[in-house]
Amino acid sequence: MRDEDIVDRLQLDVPATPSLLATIRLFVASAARTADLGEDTIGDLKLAVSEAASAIITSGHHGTLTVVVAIGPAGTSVEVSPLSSEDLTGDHLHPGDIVRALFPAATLDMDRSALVIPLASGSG
Amino acid sequence: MDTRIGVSTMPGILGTRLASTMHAMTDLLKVDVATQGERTVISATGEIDLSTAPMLETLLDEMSGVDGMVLDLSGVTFIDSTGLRVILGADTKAGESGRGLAIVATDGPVMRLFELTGVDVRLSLFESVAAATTDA
Repeated sequence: MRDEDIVDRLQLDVPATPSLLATIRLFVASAARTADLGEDTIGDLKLAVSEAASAIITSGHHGTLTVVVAIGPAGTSVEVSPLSSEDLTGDHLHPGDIVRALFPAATLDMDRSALVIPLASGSG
Repeated sequence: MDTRIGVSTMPGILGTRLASTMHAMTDLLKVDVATQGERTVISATGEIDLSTAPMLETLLDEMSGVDGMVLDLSGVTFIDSTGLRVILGADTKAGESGRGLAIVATDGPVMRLFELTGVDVRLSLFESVAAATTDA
């Protein structure tokens, strides 16, 4: 989403620790409701973001974990960083597979080390 | 995170139907263990993620030698792949020992993840504890 298309930009910066995963999900759900997303989509968003955040934590990242929800007239995007492609692979249950199953349009922005989930306006 | 594990026995209160209870809880997840007839029912309530899954895993490991175990997930409001791994691990152990694991899951985040990952066809799923304790 281009900066000029963003009406609201909500950002959460928290230490990358497991005990804050629930806080991250709460933030994403609240922000998604601001964007008038449906409850089914919000449930899927919580799962996708939690998978990405867990991947960041289990990869050994000890710094700040950032979640951004950008809301515009054409849609909403959710970003989780810092994330690498290696973080999204694992053993038999890849977090990346779950995220892609939930949101096929999700991409990994290598320049910003961010998982980007684009959502059309009125999703859910 | 505050984690508490406790065991209480109260046969005088609940008689033979619920002979003993054990529970473990964090701020996000509460797990109760109760005996219903010949079945041991483990009921999870709350959220299962990277912060709470280890507690559930520890409890399921401790109960792995129990026959006729039912895992009630109908009170789970969130679960991710970390929690799913714990459940699949418990199911595998139960299967290897020939004891089996009946899982109670209703529509919601648990079934969503089960269906999304395709494990719903592998697990022994029931819509209620009553159905699981009758049919398991």
